[in-house]
Amino acid sequence: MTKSSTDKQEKPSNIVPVFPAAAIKRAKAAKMSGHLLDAIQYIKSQVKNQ
Amino acid sequence: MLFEKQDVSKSFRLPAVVAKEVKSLSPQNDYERSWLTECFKQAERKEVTLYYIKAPESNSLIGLFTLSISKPDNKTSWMIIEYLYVLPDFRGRFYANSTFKASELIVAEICLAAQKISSIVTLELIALQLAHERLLPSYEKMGFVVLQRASKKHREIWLAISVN
Repeated sequence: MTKSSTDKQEKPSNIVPVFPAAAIKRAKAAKMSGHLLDAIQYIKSQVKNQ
Repeated sequence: MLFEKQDVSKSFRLPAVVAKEVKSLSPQNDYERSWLTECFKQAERKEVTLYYIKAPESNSLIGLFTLSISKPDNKTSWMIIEYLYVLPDFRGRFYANSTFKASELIVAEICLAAQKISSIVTLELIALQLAHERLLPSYEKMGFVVLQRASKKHREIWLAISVN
């Protein structure tokens, strides 16, 4: 079976592409989800308890 | 979880030194081995900052990640999660007594760090290249959106989220 070109990368590239302005605008509007905010709260509570 | 910044010494220019460290992280295949090897090379060249994640009780290693700061369009400042690796023993299950996977807590900690940095200097986005397409739902669950999908032109899948 041939591996898809979208399957996975061989190694990391640390060159960040220049993305379309519309994609960047979408990213700036992307807020952290409730799940991620809960994870952040969990970390903060662990720090307090240490 | 404890996050420890690692100073990668010049000895990591020696392939044998890198290979030994990579082996200690129990990569599951050549693919992970290749990524980890590249991480140490990038950290030694100071292109990225390497952090080890440890369990506070036992000080045992949970994983690692590398970060860099970039301004690809000369306008927006980005924190780039270059690579995030969780040791096999901590994958696919909740961390300790929490309801979160280790990878989710690591991303949460990176987000917290980014928010602290953004209170001092301009930092608008956190971005990462997806190591594998199957990880996409996990990051979308956290709020990341796709910047670039894999295509014939681009092999990399890029995701991002706003810092604040």
